[in-house]
Amino acid sequence: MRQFVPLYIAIGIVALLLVAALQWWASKQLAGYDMVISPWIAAGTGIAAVIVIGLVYIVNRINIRKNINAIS
Amino acid sequence: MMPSFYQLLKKIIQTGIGRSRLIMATGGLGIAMILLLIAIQAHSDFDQLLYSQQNANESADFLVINKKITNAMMGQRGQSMFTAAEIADIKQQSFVEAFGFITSNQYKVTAAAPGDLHFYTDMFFESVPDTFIDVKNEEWKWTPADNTIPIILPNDFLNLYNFGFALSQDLPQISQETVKAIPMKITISQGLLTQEFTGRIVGFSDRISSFLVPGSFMEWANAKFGNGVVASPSRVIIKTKDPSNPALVKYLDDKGYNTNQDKIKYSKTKLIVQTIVSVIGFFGLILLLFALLVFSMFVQLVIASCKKKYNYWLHWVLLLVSYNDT
Repeated sequence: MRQFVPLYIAIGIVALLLVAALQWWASKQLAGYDMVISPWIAAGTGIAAVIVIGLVYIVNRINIRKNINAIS
Repeated sequence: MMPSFYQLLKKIIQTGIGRSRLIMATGGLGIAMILLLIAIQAHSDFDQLLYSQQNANESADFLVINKKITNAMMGQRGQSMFTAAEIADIKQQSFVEAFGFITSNQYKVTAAAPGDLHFYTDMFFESVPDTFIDVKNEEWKWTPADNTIPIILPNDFLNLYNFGFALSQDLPQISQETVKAIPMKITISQGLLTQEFTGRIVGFSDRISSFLVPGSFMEWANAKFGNGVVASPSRVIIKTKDPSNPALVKYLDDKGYNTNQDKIKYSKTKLIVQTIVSVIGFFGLILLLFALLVFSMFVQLVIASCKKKYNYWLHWVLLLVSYNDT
């Protein structure tokens, strides 16, 4: 449902920011060991977030339609 | 004018009924998203750290394998050597990317320090294919015309001397540069046949704990000073993409082979990380399902509560749902 889309986007952005902070912390910790974490991983996680939000949108849309039909 | 479906639904949602459920669903969805993303991120990070080219030098790709020496094997040298069938079996394992023999000397070797250092010791040489050596040096070559033998020492050997032997015996500690600068008098002999060489340390290996000489020298010296019999290797070296591969660890255990346990420690770490990531991912998925359920219940509750009040609108909502794409 389009009414919930801003909410989904807000949740996605907050989750991504928290995970990005975790990734930044992990990169700093591993720098001492000369280990490298590729920025592509962060990009992959961003794509994963978009996919999850998309799935949530589709499932909620189906559920809400079903509920409305049931109540009628 | 007939209100649109979205306007009607927005009005119903904004009534405030079931707001706590919406907050719960939002919180649940947020936590579920974070857990899922952490699971994906942690899995990718760990894969990257173990397998990426950039970190190739940090992970152990080379394993020196030998048979475990048991009490029953003591005094029977042949039992610690790999047979042709065992070598073929190791080579055909899926986790083996490259395979090499560690060739031992078949002659006596002594080393003496020059001048007044009064250092003399019996020692041994081994050789491995150059691709398995972690020391890159232009001096690492030998031809029969050369009288100088390049030698690679294990880093542990120097550390043992500097921090164990030298300190306890009140001897001076030696830097790597000094060791490289000191030419050693190497004597190779077999029976009455003797030849002297100058040994020069060209590097220190963290990968192979042995006194290494170039393969060309070992081949030449074994042919000239050896007994003429090609001995089976008692140690082999493999290159593997993933030293933490549980199949590799199981194979070594099953066959009674031994290797540097430190290099396969990631096997346990990997298992623990995979378990933690799987558990986080599983809880994330469950939480996501519950969040979706609560969302659904929220809408159900809101619409049911408003059914009487907004009966007329609902009629239009249902009518529009039938025709409109939501």
